[in-house]
Amino acid sequence: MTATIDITGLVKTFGRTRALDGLDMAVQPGEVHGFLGPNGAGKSTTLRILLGFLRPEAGAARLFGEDPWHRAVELHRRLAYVPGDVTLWPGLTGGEVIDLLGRLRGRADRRRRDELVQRFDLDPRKKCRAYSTGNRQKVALIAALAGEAELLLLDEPTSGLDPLMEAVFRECVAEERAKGRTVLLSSHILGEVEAVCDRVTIIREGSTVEAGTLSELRHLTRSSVSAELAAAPSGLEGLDGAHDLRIEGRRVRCQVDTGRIGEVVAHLHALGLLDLTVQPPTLEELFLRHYRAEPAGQGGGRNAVAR
Amino acid sequence: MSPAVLAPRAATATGNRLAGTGTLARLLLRRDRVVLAVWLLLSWGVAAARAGGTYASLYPTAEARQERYDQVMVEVPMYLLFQGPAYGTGIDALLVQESFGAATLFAALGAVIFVVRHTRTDEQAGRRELVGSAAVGRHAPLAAALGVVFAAGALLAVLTSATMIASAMPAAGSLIFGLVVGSAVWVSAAMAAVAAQVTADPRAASVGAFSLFVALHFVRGISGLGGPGLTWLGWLTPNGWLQRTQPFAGDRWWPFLLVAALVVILVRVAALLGERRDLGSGVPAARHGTGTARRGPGGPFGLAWRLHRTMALVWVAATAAVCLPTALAGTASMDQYAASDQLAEWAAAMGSGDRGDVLFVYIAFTTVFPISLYAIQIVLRIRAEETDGHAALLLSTPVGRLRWAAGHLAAALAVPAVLLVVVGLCFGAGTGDAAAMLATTARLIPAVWVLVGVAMAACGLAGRAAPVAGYGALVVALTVEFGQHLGWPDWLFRTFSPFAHVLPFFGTPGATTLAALTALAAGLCAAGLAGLHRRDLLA
Repeated sequence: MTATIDITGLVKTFGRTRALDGLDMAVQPGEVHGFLGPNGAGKSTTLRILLGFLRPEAGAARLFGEDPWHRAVELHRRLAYVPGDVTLWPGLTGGEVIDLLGRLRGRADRRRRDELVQRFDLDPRKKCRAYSTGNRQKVALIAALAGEAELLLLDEPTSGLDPLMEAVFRECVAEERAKGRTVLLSSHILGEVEAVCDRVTIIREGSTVEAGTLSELRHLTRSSVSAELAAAPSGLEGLDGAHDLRIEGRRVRCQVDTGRIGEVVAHLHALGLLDLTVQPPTLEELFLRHYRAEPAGQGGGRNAVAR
Repeated sequence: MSPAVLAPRAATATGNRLAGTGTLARLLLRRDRVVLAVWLLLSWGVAAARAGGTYASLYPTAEARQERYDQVMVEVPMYLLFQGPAYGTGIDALLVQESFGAATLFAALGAVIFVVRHTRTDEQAGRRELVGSAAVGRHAPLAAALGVVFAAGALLAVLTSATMIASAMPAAGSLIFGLVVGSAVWVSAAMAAVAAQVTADPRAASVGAFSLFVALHFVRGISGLGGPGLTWLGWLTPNGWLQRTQPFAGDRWWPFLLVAALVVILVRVAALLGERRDLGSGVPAARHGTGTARRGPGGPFGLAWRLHRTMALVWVAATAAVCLPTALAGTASMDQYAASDQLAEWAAAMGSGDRGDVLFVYIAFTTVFPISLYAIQIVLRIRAEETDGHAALLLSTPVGRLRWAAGHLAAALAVPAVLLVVVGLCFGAGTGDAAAMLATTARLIPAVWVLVGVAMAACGLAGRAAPVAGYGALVVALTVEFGQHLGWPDWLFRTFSPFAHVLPFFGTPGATTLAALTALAAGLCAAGLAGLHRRDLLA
């Protein structure tokens, strides 16, 4: 089966800035894929290449197996896009913009549109210049979701939404998934990614640092272990596989390589274990690990992650 | 936190409303130091560059000067309309007669753009909110913009006067003409300040304020053209006051009191409006529109039309409002030019026996410049839509770049054609032969299209720098036109201005010429579209 999105070795430079530096990413049909990376990592550039707005300098981007630069119009019939920074025509009303985009995409479903307007609690009669950031985002989201597109490209679509609307958004994405649609969701809201995404790609400085399902990613890193022992321990410092060891009286905390949990727990058990908590890493921890790593090429990056 | 920390300086209510003005003024100077300097230098050049003897060499003898005076006052009505009357036969009075129109209009253009850019444009972009959240008074942004532009006007006045005095021109007249140019900056900036409060749309504010200034310039011209019976009309416009200071002839100072009063009133009105309205809104508060696009735009062409519609209709109305009274006033005054040899000569070149036609044909011809300016603006909307991020949303749908750009390009080709037809109909009402006048204005259309083509090519090939190339082409066309009057070689005019090929005084342009211009325009448009198709979309 052809991947819905298939990117290999993508390179794009703007003057001296290397926005994308050999990016790889694959999104399978029917998958909700999280796209994570710090500000300026190249997420929006990637989306703009996928939309055929920018021409890559090296590598290849394929959408439904086709070249987005040359087949932009045909491919756009099958997708809907919500830009990261939604700017609308100040003189048009929100309803007019939704209908315009619907007509342009060629699938204007009146009922679905009205239902979404209601669910997102948008007043479509207001001029776009009167909308807040969140309301402009709603306009773009409603237009995208009403189109019944096979693929949704969403660039931080909820950054301006209130928690209630964010919940509506999550419901909508779940419905899209149930209908077999593919979603690429670029986001900074980790809870959102954790809640709706099947797989994630993490990029940094224009290249992929991690990709996989959330549980796969968790396996690549460390779990946090917190234990209470019968007596203050000694001789734990040299313990293989344990990192960031902190001992406060009888309480021990450390980060443990996922493959070595058994060894560490056995060792703690030998010291007289009273209480034990082992937590898989949260996405946030995963994320921070990559974000805080030194710039790629300086010995940090990939190596900072225990593999 | 104590209140003293929140408001570091105890200030009066007025002081609070102006808090932060100095800092904002420095910000404006930092943001626009290059543009501001370029505008000042160019305005200075337009106002005073010819003071240094080059102009005197055009009219070396008293007879030549008398001849020029007669040309302005009794021979060629266009001078009264576009430039204004000469108040004396001295070389200095003749010089300022010729510079008045261009100098005041050019100075006003920069002032309007600057004021709107730093008030309403910032407000729409949301920057005003960020600035306003600091310890900045309600009126500070407007005060800073006006402060900077008023100072620029004063500097321009000083530079202009100094250049003239340094060229051994009489001091009183030099000072008065310097003040005339400075006043153009002050009045137009104050008009722009009011416009920026009234409308929420920055484009409408700048186009509206500048159009008003230009319209008042023509009201002044119609007053001059209409003879003594219409003198009162000129006293109704600030442009008329400035003209009637009569530098190097009557040397009147008191009209500047009128100017000062008007500026004070306008600034006060702007402040009052600013006091009463909400941030981000205009004076008539925003209305709700239709919630669906059933009657709204249905595609890229519909959207382009919707985006250009209001402005296009305003242009049609304004064109008619300027041309029709000009035509009627011109007809009434034509009798006094019955003996003009110059008009007879041009009439012969045009293949028309009627001197009256010459005036109207010439005025109709000059409308190609503002119309081209507007047409270029329409084309450059393509780039603006890209940089605003609107294009990305639109192009993420199955709309190809060519179809998207074609909507704007079609408007840029169609609207000037319609405007020139309106011009033809209005002046046709003046000459009484609408068909002939329509044929004349229709022949101007391909030349405007060439500039549309240049702007389109610039959008496709130059991307971000497109406005420089687009407006630059118009500036070049105007410069060679102007240069031609200064005796520059004909080939310069013919090479760099499409208008040289449709200028009726060079003989009625033939079908081959018109076809060649149209083909050139088509080629440029095609090159631009091809470039747009190939390059990265601007972010």
